Amino acid sequence: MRALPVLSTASLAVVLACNPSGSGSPGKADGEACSTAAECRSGLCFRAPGAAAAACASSEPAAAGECPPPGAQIITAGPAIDAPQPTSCQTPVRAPATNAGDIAFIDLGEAKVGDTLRFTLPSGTTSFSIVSQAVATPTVPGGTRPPSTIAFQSFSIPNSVVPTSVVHVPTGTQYYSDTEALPRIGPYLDATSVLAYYGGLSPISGAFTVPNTSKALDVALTAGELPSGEWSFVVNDFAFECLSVQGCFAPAGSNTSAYHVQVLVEQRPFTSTGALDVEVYLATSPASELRTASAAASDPQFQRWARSYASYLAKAGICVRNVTVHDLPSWVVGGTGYAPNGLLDVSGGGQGTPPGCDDLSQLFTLGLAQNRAVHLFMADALVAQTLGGFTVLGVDGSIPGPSGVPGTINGGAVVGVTGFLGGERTAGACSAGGAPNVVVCGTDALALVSAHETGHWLGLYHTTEFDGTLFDPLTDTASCPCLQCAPFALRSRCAERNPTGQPTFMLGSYCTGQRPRCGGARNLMFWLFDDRFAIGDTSRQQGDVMRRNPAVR
Amino acid sequence: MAALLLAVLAAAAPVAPAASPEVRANVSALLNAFDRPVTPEAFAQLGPEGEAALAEVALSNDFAPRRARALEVLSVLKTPRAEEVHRAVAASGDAHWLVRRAAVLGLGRLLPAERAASELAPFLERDREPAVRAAAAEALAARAPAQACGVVRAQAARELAGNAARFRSALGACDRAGGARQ
Repeated sequence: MRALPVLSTASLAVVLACNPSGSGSPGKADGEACSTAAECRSGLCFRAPGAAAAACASSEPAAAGECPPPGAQIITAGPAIDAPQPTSCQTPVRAPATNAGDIAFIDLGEAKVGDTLRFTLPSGTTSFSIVSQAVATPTVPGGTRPPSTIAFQSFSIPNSVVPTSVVHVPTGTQYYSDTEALPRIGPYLDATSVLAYYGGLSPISGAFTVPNTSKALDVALTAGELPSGEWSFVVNDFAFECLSVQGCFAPAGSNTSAYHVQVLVEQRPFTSTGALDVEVYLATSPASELRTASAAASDPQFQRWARSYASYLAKAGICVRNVTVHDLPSWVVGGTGYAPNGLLDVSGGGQGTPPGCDDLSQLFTLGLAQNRAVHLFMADALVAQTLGGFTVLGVDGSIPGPSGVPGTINGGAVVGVTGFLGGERTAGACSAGGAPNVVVCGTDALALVSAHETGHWLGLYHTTEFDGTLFDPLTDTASCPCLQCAPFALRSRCAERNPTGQPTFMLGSYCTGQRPRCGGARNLMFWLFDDRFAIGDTSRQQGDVMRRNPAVR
Repeated sequence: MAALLLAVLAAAAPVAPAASPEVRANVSALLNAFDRPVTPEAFAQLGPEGEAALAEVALSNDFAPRRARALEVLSVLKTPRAEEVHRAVAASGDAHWLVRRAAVLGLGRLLPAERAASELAPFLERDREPAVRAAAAEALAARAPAQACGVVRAQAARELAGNAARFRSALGACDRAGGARQ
């Protein structure tokens, strides 16, 4: 289990910048031989398919195909989702999408926490994802249903599933351990130099994708592939780890929890572009602008949303191809449904009490379109009764999303559309042509929010978290540490110095510098949508992570 | 309409500091958290200028979800001008239903039970928007169940079948509170 950050209060006067950038520094020019990105002026050392060795390059080649970003979106009304209203919490174990045959699935079956599982990556593999799903009634001998939560010190924490001891067997290289502490730079955790990172909470089901850090990207891009041959990992969750952590209370059965495990193996070559399908599900009321899939597909503002959304993802080399809209069963927006009249309570944030049984998680189980895609839900509005009424712009079920295995409790992202779609602060703002304008056109703002949640689905973390103490695992995104970047008058409240008090929130205006320090407000994955600065930028490494997700083709 | 509301409130309100451009911008940003709720304390740290900026957003032509969120913050913090801002928005006929819904819910937080019962009943019984009527029911059931659950149940019975789902939360709260039955 990753320890909660314990921030040093000593020696804070000299704090090195996080995310020291490898790019922009002196180094080899494009075309010169290299063995690591740090040698290259461009920050990219890349071995092209068929090449004898790696060479510095400014980017990977574009994918051969008919979908150059941003592409022309094909918007259609797809089949309605047909499912009876369940009478109890659903935590299904899902099979691979029926149209996902163009990617290799290795079904490892059921296993218990602590079991070591093995799989083999063929030559040419460029990413893999381990998808673990809790089994309610296990068939594996001695297996039990995983507990919902654990108690650590005074906190109740969802029992997140995450593999550990992920090892490339022939070389003995450990790619990930969930029990080893991350390196630090000053008071800050630094995940850029490890081979894999897992920073979210994903109880009951979760996906784990390699590569998703600068270090892993460098290793894979320099070799042109991930190491082939046998890999192993240990089936694991927080409850199992809890058994060996002081101060942690593990419920009964924590050493026998059973999960169904699948591995998705991606062999698409490294390219600078890729295509993405989006499955949209409508949890909207009959009075909504998007009351039905057919109404949405022909709605000019929905079409504008799709264009703007595609324009943001195009910055990461992603071409949004098919946008398929689905009606959900009418009971979803009924009085006892998950989103009564289109108002979705996101208090659980996908975790809920018990985890997986909140409205948001249960709604995601209806994301059943059989496609290796991003599954994006649209409700009229997101509300948060247990958060004092405070709502957010969007929520993603897990980082990364379980691409290729639709319909799990973490298998969706959601945005609230009412008041944004078609909303104009100046007349005609949403009918104007040209680039999206998030300040005056709500449709464009909604598109940026949707692209941000899609970024999470495709594996991206916030470049800087709200309190300026936690950053993404990539070296070419700017970070914005509170102690270095907040106004002087607010630094005494920075979480580095004041870890238990109300922190200084890192506003966009504090983070407008150039990388590597005090920047990020313009990035798609900044924690805040500060519309003075937000333009949805992405870095090369962010694009690499996103395009390695199995949802991208 | 927004400018008129601001002018009326400026004339009637106790003297409050105007928000500086910086505070105004920071409030606007904090209302826009992508996927992590920003706590009321974060806004409280901005002081009276923060309240002024929140009121400006609530009364502005900003996107409806942001105006609604500004009202929520004002009502949770119970700032000095919160009630009048909520009252103005709730009575503003051209405001988006999402904004007026937030105003009615906020009034439920701000008003004492007796006044909530009398002042929110018109929204419950006569507002043109089902979502606002349902918000009034929800606010009344939470704030003044003893005084108002009777009218909440009566209104729920009058609603068209298509609106029944909206009143489920209020009716449930009334049942839990054991409020008056008609």
